[in-house]
Amino acid sequence: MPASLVSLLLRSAADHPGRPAVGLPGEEPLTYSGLERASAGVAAWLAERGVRRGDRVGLLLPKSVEAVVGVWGALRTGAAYVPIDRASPPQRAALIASNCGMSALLASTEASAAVEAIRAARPGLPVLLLHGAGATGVPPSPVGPLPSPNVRDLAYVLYTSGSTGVPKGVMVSHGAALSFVEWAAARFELRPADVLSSHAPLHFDLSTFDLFGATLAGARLVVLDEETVRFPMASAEALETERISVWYSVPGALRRMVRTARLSDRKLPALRTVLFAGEVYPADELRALQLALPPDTALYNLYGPTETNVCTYWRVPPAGTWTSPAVPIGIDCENCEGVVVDPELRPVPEGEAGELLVRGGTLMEGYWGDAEATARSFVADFLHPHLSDRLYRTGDIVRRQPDGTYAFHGRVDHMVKVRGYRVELGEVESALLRAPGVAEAAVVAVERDGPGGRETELVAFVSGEGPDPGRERDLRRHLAAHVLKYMVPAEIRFLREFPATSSGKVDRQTLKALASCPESASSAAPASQTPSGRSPGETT
Amino acid sequence: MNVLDSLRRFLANELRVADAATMDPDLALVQSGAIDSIELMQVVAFLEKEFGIEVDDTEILPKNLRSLSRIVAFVEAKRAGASPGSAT
Repeated sequence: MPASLVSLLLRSAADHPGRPAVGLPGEEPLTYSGLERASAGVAAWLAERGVRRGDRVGLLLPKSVEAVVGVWGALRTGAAYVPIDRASPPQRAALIASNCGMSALLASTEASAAVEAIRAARPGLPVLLLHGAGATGVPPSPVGPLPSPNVRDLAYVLYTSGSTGVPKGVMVSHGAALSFVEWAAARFELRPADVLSSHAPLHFDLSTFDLFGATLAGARLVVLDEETVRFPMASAEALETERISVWYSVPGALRRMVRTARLSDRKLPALRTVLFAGEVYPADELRALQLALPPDTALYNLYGPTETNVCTYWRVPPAGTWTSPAVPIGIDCENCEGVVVDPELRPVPEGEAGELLVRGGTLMEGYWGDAEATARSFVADFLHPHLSDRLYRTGDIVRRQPDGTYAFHGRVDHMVKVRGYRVELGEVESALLRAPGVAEAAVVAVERDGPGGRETELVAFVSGEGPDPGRERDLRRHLAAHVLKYMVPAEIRFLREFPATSSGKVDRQTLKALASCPESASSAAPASQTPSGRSPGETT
Repeated sequence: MNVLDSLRRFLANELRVADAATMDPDLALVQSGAIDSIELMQVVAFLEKEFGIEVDDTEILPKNLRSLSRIVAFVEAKRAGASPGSAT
């Protein structure tokens, strides 16, 4: 039994020193012994600057070999790594650095305003610029003894959208990460001959499967950079030419490859397993994917919020043998156990809808520096009172179907997924409320057809000043400085008054209905518009 | 309006890329995080409508669409009737 994620790297470096560990498509990969040495160099640099076991090391790097080296370098000091979305407004990046008490930062030469904002928030912070494949640009330095983290140490802190406007740092221990990685490696039979795609950004928990699963198995990891990920043709090209055997991404990436990258014309003899998670895969499109892939490819829908990592999975039946209108989230992973409860936390009868609670080895420790939110998200394990364990409240509504799988039925709260990313509508609302002249703000999510298929879009409603020309532009500028781009609503509409429910709350159902019809047809006051209906700058 | 200017206008007004007006034409649009994958498809739809060209799926490649300058060259080659290069 490995003591920590670090043990996985040390073991693979000892067992397969010359095997390829990680590389970009078309480039010579770094070997396991190369990865071990390069990460030790980064760890030594960090340790010399005072990074100790239990600290937090930030990562602000593009998807690259250096980023993978950086993850391992941070882990080998006994610190937790904290990946920051490079698209973060500088202010949000600085907020995260302060929130987690960051003690060093690994960044790239091209970064930027965010690094400066973090430096300003954490004066004296050591910043290491990583560049140059493999070598990472760290001068070789004698590596002293590095600490050996154990299962109780934190491995990473992933920041997700927080409903109060402050991002929440999900703390995951080495033990929880190992529980997931070992489950996944066994379930998907990862082997040294496998080639895994690294598709998700590091701040997205999907990335932990490929990063650590590949290392556990001694397999090769193909890091797909942002450009490869976003051009479906380039993704499909990498899938074929790199002979990827295990692919893991959000459904959107697969849907785009089916639609525009001629997936069915590709020669994919190496591909054996395709995993997806992060959002709902429309069933018809999933059937289309199956037809585009080699017929013996195993497909799995994985489910779980960042707080539980993957906790349920569903093996997609062979093409042509299933017709269900929705894709279930499947059954409990072997290292987890779920229970469906009503709002009073009483288990519901079989087949009824309720909130999914999860117990198991993959659960987070809590939210960084937020004991209150942590306490709210867990309940004592009433199923096994003698164990004094805890259950995580997923906030997801599910129903156990006659075949034993869970069907997903949405959220109990105001969290939605946009492009696979979690967005707390409250985070966008509180950013809007901080803008001058905004009296009330509410954000709703609607489904719309776009050039890339059906997508979730956000529509904001505000009251107060406006809608004079330039007002929407100012609000957008304000939002861009405070939240991530995918959180900025597609439309901002101005209301004189907010619809209210009988209890006086904002009537979100009415707002959703308003959002679903074109603006001119709604009762909203007219905003500055172009013929396309949602352009802010044309009239100025 | 030339191709570059209308592209900048589209990025600024429709995709709300903050610094579209002054952006370095060689900046890697998706690599830098200025646009995401869905917006990339919106750019393609815009090129087809605005410039009356037809963009084949196999032409949606970094070499054709990586940056503003690449897109301008791609549109001009398409308008001249040339085939700027596809993946197959």
